[in-house]
Amino acid sequence: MSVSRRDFIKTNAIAAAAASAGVSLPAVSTAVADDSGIRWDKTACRFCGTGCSVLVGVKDGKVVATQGDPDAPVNRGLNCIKGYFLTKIMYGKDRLTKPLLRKKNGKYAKDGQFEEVSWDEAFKTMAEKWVAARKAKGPKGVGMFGSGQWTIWEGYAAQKLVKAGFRSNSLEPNARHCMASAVGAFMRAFGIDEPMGCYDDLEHADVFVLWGSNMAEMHPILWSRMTNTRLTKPGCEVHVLSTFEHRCFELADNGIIFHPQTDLAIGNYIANYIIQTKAYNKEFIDKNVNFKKTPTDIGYGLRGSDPREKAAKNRNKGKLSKISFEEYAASVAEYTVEKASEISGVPVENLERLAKVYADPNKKVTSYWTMGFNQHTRGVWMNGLVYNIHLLMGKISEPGNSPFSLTGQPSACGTAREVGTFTHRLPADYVTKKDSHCKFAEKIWKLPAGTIPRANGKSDKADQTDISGKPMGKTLIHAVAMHRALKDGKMNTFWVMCNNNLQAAANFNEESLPGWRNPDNFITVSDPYPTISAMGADLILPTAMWAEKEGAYGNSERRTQFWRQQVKAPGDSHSDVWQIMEFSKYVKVEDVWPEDLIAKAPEYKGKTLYEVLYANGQVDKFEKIQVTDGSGNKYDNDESEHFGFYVQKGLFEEYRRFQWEGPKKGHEMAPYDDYHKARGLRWPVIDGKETLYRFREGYDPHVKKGEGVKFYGKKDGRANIITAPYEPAAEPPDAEFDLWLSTGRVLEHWHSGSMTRRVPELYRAVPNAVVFMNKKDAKKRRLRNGSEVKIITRRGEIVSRVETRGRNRPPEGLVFIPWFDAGRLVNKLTLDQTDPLSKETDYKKCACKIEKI
Amino acid sequence: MTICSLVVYARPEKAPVVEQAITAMEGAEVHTATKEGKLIVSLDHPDRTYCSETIMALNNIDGVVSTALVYEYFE
Repeated sequence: MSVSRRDFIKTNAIAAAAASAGVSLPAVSTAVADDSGIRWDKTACRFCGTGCSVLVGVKDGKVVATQGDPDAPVNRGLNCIKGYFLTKIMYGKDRLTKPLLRKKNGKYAKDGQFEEVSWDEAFKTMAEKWVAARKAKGPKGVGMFGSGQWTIWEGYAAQKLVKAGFRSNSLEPNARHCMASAVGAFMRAFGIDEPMGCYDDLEHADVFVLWGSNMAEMHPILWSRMTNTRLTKPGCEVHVLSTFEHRCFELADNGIIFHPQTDLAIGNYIANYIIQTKAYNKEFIDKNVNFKKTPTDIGYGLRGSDPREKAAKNRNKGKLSKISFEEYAASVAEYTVEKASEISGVPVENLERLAKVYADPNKKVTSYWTMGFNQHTRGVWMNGLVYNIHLLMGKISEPGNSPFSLTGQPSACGTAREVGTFTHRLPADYVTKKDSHCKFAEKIWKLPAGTIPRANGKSDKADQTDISGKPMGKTLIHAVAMHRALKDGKMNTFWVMCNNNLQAAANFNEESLPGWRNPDNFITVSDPYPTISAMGADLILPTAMWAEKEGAYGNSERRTQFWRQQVKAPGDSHSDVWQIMEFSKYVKVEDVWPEDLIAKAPEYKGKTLYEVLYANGQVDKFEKIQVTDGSGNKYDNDESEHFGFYVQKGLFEEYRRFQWEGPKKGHEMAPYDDYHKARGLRWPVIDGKETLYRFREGYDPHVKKGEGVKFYGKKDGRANIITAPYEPAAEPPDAEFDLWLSTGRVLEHWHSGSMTRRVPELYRAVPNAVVFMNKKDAKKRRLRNGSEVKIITRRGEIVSRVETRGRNRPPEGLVFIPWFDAGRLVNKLTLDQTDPLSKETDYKKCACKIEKI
Repeated sequence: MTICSLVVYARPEKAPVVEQAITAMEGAEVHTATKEGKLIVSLDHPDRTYCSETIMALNNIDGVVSTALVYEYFE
């Protein structure tokens, strides 16, 4: 390379950085068109829920360069360290390229060794098991466990396969472990899912409050934007609340460490402060808010045989009842600053400083939270307590004033939540407990009424008939219950796709592993790599990942983003949507539907599920085309090539009808082709225009002139303030198990590490999970930094090393262990406790002890 | 060779020390440092692995609040 070219590239690099940061430099030359034969195109990042746009450069069929996308409103040309290594995730040395089936003497055997098989043998074996389990064990006999990393159409295709094809509601995403509490609280408070605000708040707010969110490590690009605002906007403040000190505390003006579970008391104290000081916005409340209470003492989502469940007065109950403002005020009155301080361990002055910024009508406050709130046995309550604060002040649905739940996965919103790949949900916030919603879905899907199992197994008040001839019965089963059902032999086939649930689910020793290895069960895992889950399966299907397929994700701020297939997947691997649709060719309607249902749609007699669900005249109505971008560059689309029609477009356009044709408004998306041209669009998209702030006149097209604010997800247009008290955690430390154990992530690794641990630089940076521990706790146990220890809970033990000087600094009485490390499975330790309302696991609180080895 | 550019945010009071620490790293240059603590940094080194590890090291310098990569060229 010549010196001048090197200087030229460098100058451009520096100019790009300066432009991203809004810094002016002395004159620099402008970029010229690249002449190195690299094809550049936009993609959405594969990792967290931020939804950065990343430019990918392809040469000779391989990704050779990446760049933060300067035209992307989300990341403005910035990239985090994981994004920097993004393309390397596809090139790990141990990519799976052939289906692998456990076999002995040439036949499938649960205790056999993995052998390469054809896709035909894989799907034949799988279909046989699935049909048998469906017939013998009813709608819960089969199960599929998908992902907030599925593309939108993958989730949609799965939704159709499981709910309509197999007539089962046993479909769950890993987002159950991640976002379910946020969803539950949105539905209870606003009647419609997902945040009302958007990332523009990162520049508009005066005060940022991070509750249970280590944004510096988990959402680094949002953190960069927030840092920029904090450093450049006069008077800007950052408040950080956590159960231990982490990277965000470096920017904190008010750093708050509270005892686990006591965020409930802090949330109620702030509401009480606002009421006592009469700071609340009476006009806003009178017009826009209802007050409600929720049943208390609701248990911890454990198995019914657990004494804690037997002791709960209102186990799993969440039905709201109306109260007055005065009753609400009385319900929080006990949460004085002294009491909140006593429960939480937070000094009075820190609590007051926090309450004052919320209560100041002249300060715009944006609250961000992630797993600290969601993975909480009172997660729905806690999400709600923050809405209560924002609603009391009317600080909502306008620039800078936002309660904002962040997602951990790239399409937890776009796929899991919007497509509704949960047991109880259908696309666009429709639910299986409502007969009318199911009928609406059946109409769009051209299926006879009564095909989709209702939550209670009844349509038009009559029992739905199952393939066995018996009534369908109750059909809902959530993620944690699926592992229990596998262990108990009630569910016999399980297909895990696009996630690593054997590593991710709580209580590995007592629930997950026994369920997967139960001899009666047939477990399929679709994965690009031999993860813990793949190794725990009976059939492994090799998967095309990320830029090896055309895809779409939806990020935390309701932004839907598309990308084109950039490169080919290795060997015989195929994308999830290919696998779902191809598998459906191996099952006939007669295998899974009863005669009376087929009689209602005789045209489906003898047909495969593929013909009924995908070759239905709708999904297959768009011809396959040569995918071409605005500059004339050409791209493959391997799914369209295989099936003979534009698969992704057909699925998306059918899905879009749920948003436009039903009674529920506010979910509208733009036509397919628009997204390939845009850097994402935030729904609702009406007349080509995206929506930045929902529920407010002037921003949201669904709010009419003169209405001001309207929470139209609720029939009367009012949001709910829901009172809920502080209640203790399920398993607090005691004399024997004397420490809190909290789990989570680190910057360098994403989730279970199945991708990032295969990037050599990231692996070397943080090779193993350590136990972050307070020095005093270490000293008491005669440990020092680097000591090898056993971490023991009532469910299991693992070995790791003590870290007392690292980036996370826990207070006395608490230790933190990241969960990315397949060699140290922290979920051998965790308790399978959930929020009884959202069914989301609480990975943040159980009791452990630590012993020197 | 690899050339990349970054935006580094430091606590304003620690920015001068951070700037010194970055400048001391092989292949690293600080092009601008604003009074708010924003630093525009480039890395130029034959080894891509060196660059990536340096980026991670940058993030661990005392006083650095945030590090974001903007541009990378490698061949």
